[in-house]
Amino acid sequence: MQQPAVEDRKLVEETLGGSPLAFQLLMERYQRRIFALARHYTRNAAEVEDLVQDTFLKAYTRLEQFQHQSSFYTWLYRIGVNTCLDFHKRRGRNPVQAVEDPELAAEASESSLGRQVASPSATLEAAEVAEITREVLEEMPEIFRTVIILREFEDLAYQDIADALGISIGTVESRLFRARARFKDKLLQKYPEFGQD
Amino acid sequence: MSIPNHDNCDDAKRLVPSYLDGELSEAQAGPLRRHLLACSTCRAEVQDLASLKKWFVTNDCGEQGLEIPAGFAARVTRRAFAGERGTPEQTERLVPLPSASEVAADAGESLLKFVLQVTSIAAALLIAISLAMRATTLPAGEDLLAEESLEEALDRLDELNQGLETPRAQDSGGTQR
Repeated sequence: MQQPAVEDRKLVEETLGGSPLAFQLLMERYQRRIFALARHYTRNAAEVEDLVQDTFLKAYTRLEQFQHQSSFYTWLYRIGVNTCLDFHKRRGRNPVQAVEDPELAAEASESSLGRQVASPSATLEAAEVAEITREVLEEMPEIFRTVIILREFEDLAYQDIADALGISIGTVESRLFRARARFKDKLLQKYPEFGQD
Repeated sequence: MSIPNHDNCDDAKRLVPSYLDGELSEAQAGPLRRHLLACSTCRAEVQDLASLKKWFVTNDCGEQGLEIPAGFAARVTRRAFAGERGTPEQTERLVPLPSASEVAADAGESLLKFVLQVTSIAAALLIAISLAMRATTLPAGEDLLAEESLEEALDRLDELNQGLETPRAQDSGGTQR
């Protein structure tokens, strides 16, 4: 996530000085990535657009609080992740109380214990695999879903995930470990045929 | 991340996810690779995670395939400068975004907490020391016990009284004379 930090800083300062053009340039630089992030949380194009717009409106409102301690993109991405999580909360999906329970993943299901998951078979179309994956992720608590999205789909490094979520690298590692275990568990529960002993 | 002893399968298995995610330095990955060559159990662990990772695909064609509405940035910028603020956040506790003032407030709060902790520890120490001093300077229960019995003490008192009365009687006899 290396960004032209100096230019970002200049654009942020100009935005704070009242330049709409500077903010528009910042948006144009990062909107594609925020669109990609939002698309993991909803398939509805209008909702994706709303999430991205919301992210940038919040970023503009809080721009004075941005201390340049992280890159502008990391800061913006964090707002984007929060906005997407709020979106799900408002929809009543995966209550936050349950999501926040750190012991949530501690319980390992017996069903997949000792079983290995097979790679998607060659007969499955990529679209089918994607659909199954989406379906499984939909049923996972946000806290795990988000870390998988950031690592596996957005390809963020552990440090970038830690920065985006405001957690330590150790927490990223343990959360990812649990999230993958949960994904595997749910995949094998729903589709036992993808398991191998 | 320290370099563990890769003869130990637990250490190796702990590093497997970071290894597959490309998060290990060569100094960490080298010993792990050597362990994997020798250990089929850990190799199976790698294979399992590698298979799982193949499931993480999306229908989307990546960032480049995204269709962003024309004039989107300009439209949102106009709204931002017109004073629209976006939906208030509800998940501050999940992914906090500390502001400078929050960071300062946190620092002040932790300083106050530290001072209070030090004060309470000092108070507890003072109480403990004063109790210890009191215990060593005051006579203990056994010290308070008289070595002689009550009867012996009364006898000794009588003897003393008699000793006092004898000269007094002599004094009074002298006067009479």
